[in-house]
Amino acid sequence: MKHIFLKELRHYFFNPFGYILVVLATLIANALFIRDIYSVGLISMKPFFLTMYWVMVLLIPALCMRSFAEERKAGTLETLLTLPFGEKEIAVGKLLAVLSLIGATFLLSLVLPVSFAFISGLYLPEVFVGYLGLILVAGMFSTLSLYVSLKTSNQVLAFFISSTILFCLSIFSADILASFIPRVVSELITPLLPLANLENFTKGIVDLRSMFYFISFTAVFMYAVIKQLEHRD
Amino acid sequence: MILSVRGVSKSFSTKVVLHSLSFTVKRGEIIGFLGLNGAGKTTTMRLITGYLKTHTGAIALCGLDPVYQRKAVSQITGYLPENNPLYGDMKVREYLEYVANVKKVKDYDLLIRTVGVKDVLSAKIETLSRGFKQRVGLVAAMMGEPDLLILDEPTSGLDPIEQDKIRDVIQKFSKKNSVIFSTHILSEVEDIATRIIILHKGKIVFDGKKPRGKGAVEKLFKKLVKN
Repeated sequence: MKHIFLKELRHYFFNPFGYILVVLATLIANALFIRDIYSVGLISMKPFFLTMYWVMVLLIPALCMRSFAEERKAGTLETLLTLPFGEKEIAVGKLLAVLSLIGATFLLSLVLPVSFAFISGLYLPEVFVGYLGLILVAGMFSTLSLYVSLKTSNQVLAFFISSTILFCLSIFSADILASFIPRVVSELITPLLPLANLENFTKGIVDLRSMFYFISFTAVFMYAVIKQLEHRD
Repeated sequence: MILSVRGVSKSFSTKVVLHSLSFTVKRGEIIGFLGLNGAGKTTTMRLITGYLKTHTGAIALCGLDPVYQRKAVSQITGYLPENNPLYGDMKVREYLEYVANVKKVKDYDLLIRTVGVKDVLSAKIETLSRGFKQRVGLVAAMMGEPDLLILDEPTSGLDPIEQDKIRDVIQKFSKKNSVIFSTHILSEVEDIATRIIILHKGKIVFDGKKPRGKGAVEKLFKKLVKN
């Protein structure tokens, strides 16, 4: 697993594409954070976390699109699967590399909130709970995007499908759903949506149900990636 | 015996590409795998490495089943796939180090010198000529002295000098271990194979010692695949 992880990480860090995405995501998130402070006049991390969530809807499919799709296209998936790697090692190694890059984005984005914490008394544990929520979202989005990347040899298609799925999962808030389906049904569906599950984390509340939700989805998609790699038909 | 293939069949959706294939490989043998395009050579090789799963029949590589023990099988096999897919953005040294780490091989300097990639270690793989790329793939496949080396058209598209070089390497390697290689160059089989297997439409139509005499393999091949 270590070797896959390092190879993937090397690809991201030796490739301008990885840097550009990370820097762009950080700039956008921080710019929107500052805009919120000036427009609302209140230092709250909630809008920042929601912005980061939407940044991840595009950032993660962009980072994951090449993971397997490029290997399939170049034929190196055959090389990979005929080296002494287990399917789990391959899947986890690639996931950890993507998460490391997202972790780097989070670290870079921390600069502003931490600075504000010093001057305005922003409650830091609340900030860290928010980041925990984002990490859980990143796990779920990354495994889903890796699975999509494994199903195609076209990177652009992988990006398009993953981001569309994530966008559709995110756009439906309880209010939108309630406008065209019965309230009873929307109340059943809402707890299954990632944005609704991030809500409490953005307020600084560690929600165990939501944590279970994100971990379960991550595990299910990870299992799907491993099974797809084992398929070999 | 290194490899045993018994009654192996394989189909892709409704198309059957291999029909009940059976053969064995002993230590030290160099098997020339012949057949027209689409005869099933690559599929057979992929089944042996575990990259593809068998539908019926069984494969045993030193007692290991590639379907369920792919990782262990890849530790004792070296595989050079058709078209030799490599990571173009890596330098040769980085790629070989990566493979060596994965295969837990510490010393491969001699292999690098034997195959002749020492001078291109600092070059990016995508900048190499086809011949050098093939050599890099060969070093990666031969790393750790695998019991069985599987080479899918290792000399395809190479100039005669490069072809000779690769053949020399294969012959040196086979002194200790076994090799299965596919090719369309029949003279190559005459030069280095100790046994030939001819596949036609997914079936083995010949499995035995190579016929003696110049052009004998070509004669036999043409006779068998014409029908």
